[in-house]
Amino acid sequence: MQAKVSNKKYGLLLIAVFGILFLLFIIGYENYTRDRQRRAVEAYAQVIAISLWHFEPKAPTDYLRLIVAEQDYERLQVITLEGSTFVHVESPQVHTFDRLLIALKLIPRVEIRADIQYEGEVIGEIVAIWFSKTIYVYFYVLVLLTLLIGVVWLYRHILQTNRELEMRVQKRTAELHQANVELRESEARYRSIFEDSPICLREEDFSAVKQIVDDLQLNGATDFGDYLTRHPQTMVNCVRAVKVLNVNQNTLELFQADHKEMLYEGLNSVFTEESLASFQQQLIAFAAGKTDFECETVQQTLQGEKFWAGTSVSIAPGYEQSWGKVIVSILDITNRKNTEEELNNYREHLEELVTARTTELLALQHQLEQRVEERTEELAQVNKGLNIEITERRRLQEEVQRYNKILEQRIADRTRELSVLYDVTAVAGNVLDLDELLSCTLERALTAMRCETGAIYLSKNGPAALHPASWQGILPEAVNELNVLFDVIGPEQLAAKSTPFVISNLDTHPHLSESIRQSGWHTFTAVPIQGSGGRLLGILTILGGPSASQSVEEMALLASIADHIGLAVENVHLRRQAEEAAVVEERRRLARELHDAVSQSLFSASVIAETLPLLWGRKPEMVRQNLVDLHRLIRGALAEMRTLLLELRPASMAEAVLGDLLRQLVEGVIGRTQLEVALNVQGQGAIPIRVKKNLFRIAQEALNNVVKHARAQHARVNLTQTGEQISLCISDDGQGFETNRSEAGCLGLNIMRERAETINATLTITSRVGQGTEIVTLWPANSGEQQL
Amino acid sequence: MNETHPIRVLLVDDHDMVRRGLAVFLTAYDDFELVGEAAGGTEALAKCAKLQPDVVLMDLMMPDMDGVAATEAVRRDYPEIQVIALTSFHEEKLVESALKAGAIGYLFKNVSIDELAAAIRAAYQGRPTLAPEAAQILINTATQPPPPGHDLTQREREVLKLLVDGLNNPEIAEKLCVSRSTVKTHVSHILTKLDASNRLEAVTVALQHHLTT
Repeated sequence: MQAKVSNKKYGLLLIAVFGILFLLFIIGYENYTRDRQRRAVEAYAQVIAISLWHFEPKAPTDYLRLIVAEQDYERLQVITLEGSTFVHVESPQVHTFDRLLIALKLIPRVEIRADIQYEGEVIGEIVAIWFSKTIYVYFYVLVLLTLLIGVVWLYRHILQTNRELEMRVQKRTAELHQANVELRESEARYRSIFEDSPICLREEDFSAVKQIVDDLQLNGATDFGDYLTRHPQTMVNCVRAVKVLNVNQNTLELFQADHKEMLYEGLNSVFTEESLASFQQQLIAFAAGKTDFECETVQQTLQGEKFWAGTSVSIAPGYEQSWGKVIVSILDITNRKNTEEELNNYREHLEELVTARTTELLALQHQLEQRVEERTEELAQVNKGLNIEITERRRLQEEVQRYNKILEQRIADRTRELSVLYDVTAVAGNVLDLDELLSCTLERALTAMRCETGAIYLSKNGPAALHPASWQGILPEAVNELNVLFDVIGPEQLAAKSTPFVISNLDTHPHLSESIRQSGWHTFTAVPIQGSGGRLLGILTILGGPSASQSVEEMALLASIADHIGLAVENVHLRRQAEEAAVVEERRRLARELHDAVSQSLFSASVIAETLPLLWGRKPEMVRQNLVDLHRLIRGALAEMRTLLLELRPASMAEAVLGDLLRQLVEGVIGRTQLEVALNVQGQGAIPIRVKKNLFRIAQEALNNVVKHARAQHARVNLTQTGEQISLCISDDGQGFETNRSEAGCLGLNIMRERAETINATLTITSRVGQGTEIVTLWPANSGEQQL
Repeated sequence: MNETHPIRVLLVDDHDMVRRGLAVFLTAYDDFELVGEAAGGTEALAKCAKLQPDVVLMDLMMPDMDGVAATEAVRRDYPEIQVIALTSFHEEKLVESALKAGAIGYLFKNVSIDELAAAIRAAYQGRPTLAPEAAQILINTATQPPPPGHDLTQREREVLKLLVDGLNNPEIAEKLCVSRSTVKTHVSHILTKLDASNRLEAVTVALQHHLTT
């Protein structure tokens, strides 16, 4: 119901909002349109503005005439042909059309679609539709539609409400009908329950009794019970006044009556004295205003058999004033009564038993107390044992802790050992020089063993020839003397054993001189240094005082250190071999260069020299030129030779002047090629060796490039040295190259650049195809290279 | 030397000054004519085609197509052109391969001009000339016992090369896609054939005798 009401309100509200919105919209739109029209008109022609809006509807032609001045045309007509309207203007001025167009668009309440023609040609289209008119129609239609929708909605709503009301009435009617049916059913059910109830039920009318009681009370009988006891006749009257309305089948059976009438007649005879007494109680209760009464009395059947009856009497609801209907239910409780009696007897018997049992239990309790005492004693014993056990456990725990500490110590030792091994390995990896390596590793081994004195002996040719290679905390003579001990041990035995060998009686050893015995050393530990395949490389020895530790771990550590020293020594050997191989390779390179440059030059020179005598006789004019060539060849060879010597003796580079070095280089090039190279050296002064070397290499590489790639006729090497900088310029007149092409990187230019970078010089390469190449290296003298 | 026209000679050498010296030498003799010079094998072939020389003086070590290959090409394409190898290298293999390639003379760059002139003339007439050292080398090669490793199979050479490269047996097996035991067998054969007691010695022998190149 609530929802329906709100729905209805909502619908009405919606309609109102729509209506208001439409009204607002229409008013707004009208205003807007009007404004627009006015603005347009004012902008184009004042006359039209004043006239058009306020004029009454007129024929379109009249409007047009108002707008367009008469002198602007000869004839103006609006013609309607086949539903289309045309404006026909004869001989118009040009601006007439503008005005016409405006006018046609502004004519109110007229729709015109027309072509504007000029001399038969379409020059414009007029679509002069009064839009606002159309829009008005739409608005009205919309408002009507909205109202219609509202009405329909309301109608539907009312119909709906009617239907619901009808349904509610029908539902109520059905419910009432149902209630009637149920009432009848309940009545019938009551009857059948009454009849078939297993309890004895009686419906009685006490109206007459009530009358008697009321009379008595009016006559001033305040103590009703006392009055009845003193007047038994009244009591009998009361019993007689009870009118039995109905009894059920069970009651008949209980009172052994064959039918209801028989019971009604003999009802007075079934009263016993007890039942009369209880009837009296009942009356007293009812007179006091109670509606229920219960009692247990002895009654008797029509045949005079007595039985215990549980009687419950209650005034039916609605009859409290008149006592017109009283329900009496009677239960035969003879069995229960008998049982109660038996139970009483049984309880007495039980009480006797309980008394006997209590006595027994008391005895038992006493026994239990004794037992508990015994047990407590036992527990005390056990407790003592546990205390001893706990003490034992504590002791064990302490033991474990102590052991833990030992383990921790061991871990610390292992860590130390590992770090020492790591140290030794690191040294082995970094140190190139054998002596340095040995002294470093010996120092670390001594630190690890917490000793101060030790030596490393190396062997060149197996175990026989051991010689001291590094020592610490001991004089060389003593080291040499200790060699004796190897003979005592036997180096082969040492090598075979590969674990430390200890002599611990240095202070009394018969093979040693007095000075060593007095030096305070007690133990001599020797560990073989083995190379790959167990080859003996040398021996590591440690000299310790009387307290020097000889634990298994330390010996193992010493052995590991010795192994690492072995690896390191082998590494150094290998490295040395590699260096020797590099030297051999360098020699081969020199030989190759000798072949390439010098030997070819000398061969050529020797051929020319040998040919000269022949030419002397036959073509003397060629001799002079060839002698010049010969000289040039030999000079070139000499210069190349010197340059190669520089490679062999790098120290000579340090001594030489850069100008001279370049001269050699240039002569060498002249000697072995057709290229004409000019050298120009300006200024002089000390140049750091590194700078000199790199500048020389750059010049060498650049000239090599000229010879190999440039196909040049002439080349020029300029070295200009001032206080601030050194400039080295190598240029040629060869084919050049594109500096940004990838091949530019192949010509050794990168190497030159790298060389320039290492000395902080700038290298500039200028080259273009067909226009030669120029390579300029500028080294600033204050770049910090002076210190190098 | 009663030829009506001089012997046309082409000089092939990558060194300018050598060509210059030889050019002077050729001008000193009337019966020689220098027809052209080339700085490499490729250029030499082009010049042969264009100039049709009688004799080519060929350097053997050149950056652009070496002398042996150039000799072979010249002799194949122009059998009438004779080639004299002129080199400063004394390696056995070079002598042998130059002669195999078709050179008619083999001279070192310590030759006297008389010997050189004689060699050019001999070559022109189709007679060979060998420098005494070259002849000695050839004789040594012929009489020497076969070098170690001459009887290695192709597969064994491959394994040997990988040994030289420093690979161990499992790595070799992986590289050649064979089992390790196969590699082991190959290695033991190699050791026997090279008369080496261990792998290192085998590698040394291989390097000394260029068995893997």
